[in-house]
Amino acid sequence: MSNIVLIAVLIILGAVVLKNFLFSSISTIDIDADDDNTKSEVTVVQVYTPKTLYKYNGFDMEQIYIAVRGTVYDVSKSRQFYGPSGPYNVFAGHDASRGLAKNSFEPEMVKSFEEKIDTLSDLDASEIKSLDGWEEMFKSKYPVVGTLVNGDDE
Amino acid sequence: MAFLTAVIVGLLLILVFSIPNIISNLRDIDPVALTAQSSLSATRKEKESAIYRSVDVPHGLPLNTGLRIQHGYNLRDGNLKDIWFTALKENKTTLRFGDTGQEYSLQQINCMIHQLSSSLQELTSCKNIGILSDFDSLGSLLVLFDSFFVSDRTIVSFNSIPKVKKADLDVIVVDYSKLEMAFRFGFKKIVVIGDCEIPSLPDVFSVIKMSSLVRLKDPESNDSFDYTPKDFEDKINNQPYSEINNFKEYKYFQRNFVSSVASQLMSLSSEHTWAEKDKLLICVSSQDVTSKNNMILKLLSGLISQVGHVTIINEDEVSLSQIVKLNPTILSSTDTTLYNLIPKKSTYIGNIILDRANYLNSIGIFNKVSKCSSGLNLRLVYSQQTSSPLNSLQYTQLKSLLHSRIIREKSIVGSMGPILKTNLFDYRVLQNEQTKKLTVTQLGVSSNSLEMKIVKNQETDKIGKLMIRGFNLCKFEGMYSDDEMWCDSGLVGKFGSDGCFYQYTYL
Repeated sequence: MSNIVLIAVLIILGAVVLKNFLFSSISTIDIDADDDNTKSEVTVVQVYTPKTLYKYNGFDMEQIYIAVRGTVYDVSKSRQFYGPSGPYNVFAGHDASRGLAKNSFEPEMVKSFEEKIDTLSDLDASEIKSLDGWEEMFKSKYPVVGTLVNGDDE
Repeated sequence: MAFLTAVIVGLLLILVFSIPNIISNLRDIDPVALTAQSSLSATRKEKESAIYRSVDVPHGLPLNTGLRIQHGYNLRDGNLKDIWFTALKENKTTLRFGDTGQEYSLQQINCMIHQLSSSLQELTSCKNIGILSDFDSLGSLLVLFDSFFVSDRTIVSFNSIPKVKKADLDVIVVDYSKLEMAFRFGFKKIVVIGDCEIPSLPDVFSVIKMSSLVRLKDPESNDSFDYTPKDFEDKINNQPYSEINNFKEYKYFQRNFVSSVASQLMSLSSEHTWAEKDKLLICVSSQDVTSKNNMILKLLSGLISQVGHVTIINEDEVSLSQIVKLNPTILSSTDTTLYNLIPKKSTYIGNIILDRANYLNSIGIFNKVSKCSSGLNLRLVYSQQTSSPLNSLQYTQLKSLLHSRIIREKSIVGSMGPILKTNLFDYRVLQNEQTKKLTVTQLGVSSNSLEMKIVKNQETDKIGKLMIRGFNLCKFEGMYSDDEMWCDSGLVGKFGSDGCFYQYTYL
């Protein structure tokens, strides 16, 4: 009796293996063709005002953006420099153009989010050259996420 | 007896439960690798997708721009003459054409193109030479090679009449079957390819046989090629090729050729790269205008990688028995021709073998068990996707039948070679590719020499127009849609979560 049971089990197992190997139908997959709107890591390029840029300081928002000559860069990958307690944290969420031009990281180098964007009209030739160098570095190193314009109420 | 049976049962149970592991180990590629085939830019504009590139050339690295030929401490992108110079120096390749059936060494071809160059110089002083051919004959290839490698003329391939008459062009080379068309295009000096009788014509026409300009039968060998990269770099014709399509001129530059050759060959790992032992069979379609550029690209790629044999035939001559006879290892053809190779009737046993091969290929197992035909030694098949493309199930059947990895390529008018390609190892059979109203086609990721994005009408739209920019795109009137050099590919669809582009065609 036990032999018959074992033979039956053998036949069933053999049939399963045969079915899987010889007689399986083609395996299909469903490609979920979602576009990248759902991918949160892709940032939409947009227009920022000093007020909307301010919150991207690594503290209020996780991302850190800074503006140089009207272009906003995502510098989040250099959190150790621009993030909270970093040496250049003063620039986070602000227009950093004047500070970079003068190679100064003092708080007075950035304007408050309630003020208009710095026109940089008083910079001398050497400061403009310094700013050019910084701008090139930012262009090559960080993704552009938008432009900085004055808000309506400013 | 009971003990033995228990052992067998135990072994069978182990086998049943370890099937997923066995399948995973037998697979060509981990399925996870197929879920991330593109590199995405960090940002995107509103109503647009991120910029997609192949993972071979991710963001932060340059796209494939050229051949990267070492010159001292520098790397050069190279030009067409570098390709001929390299191929001729090694002289490992032989060429064979469907029309003559004869095999030619590169030195013989070199001798013929120099002869043709001198003959054409006597015939015309114009800097351009027209051609009306399918590029599947020795004669048409000699004219092409003469312009590319020797005479620095620009070859103008006519697929339609141009809106404005092309200046500085008075001679056209035509296939005999297209002689009538050459008259209609208004050419007076005509060179005819093919062994044929020239009809009697008014004196205003001058029709010459190609065989009277160059010795096509038993040509001599000649390995002299006057080219040194350093001296010639500034002197070469930067725009050696033009196409007339839809009444417009599409201008191709040296960069288009070298970047697309580099992109073609650098898409493959060293294990799968084209090599001396390979036999390349290129099938040219008379129906598909992108087929000519694909033939040029594959031929140039074959020359620079010094494959053993290159055969060029018209797709009308392609059959399974012909492929078995020519015994290629690399095949390039349109999807329609490839699909016609699948036998429509089979025996009961044949069907079981095909089903088993299809099943194994559909789960990514590519080995001798998943093969169902003999006599073929193909290892790479390039399928040019036409306007009525095959679905993924049909590609799985082709893979079983040809027992070769298949790369699907999509070209458009104005691109030198493909703009999209699928992964060499992609085995997936997709669901819901065809509904009553819609066909979804997997076209793959961008070629290594360009990048792409989708532009939508609304932010919430699922699909949009595919925009492309890169080095294998030619220049034509009105090609750029914006100042960032993006060009409309004419394709509509969306990117899947795997990074591939899926074309949407509404029926």
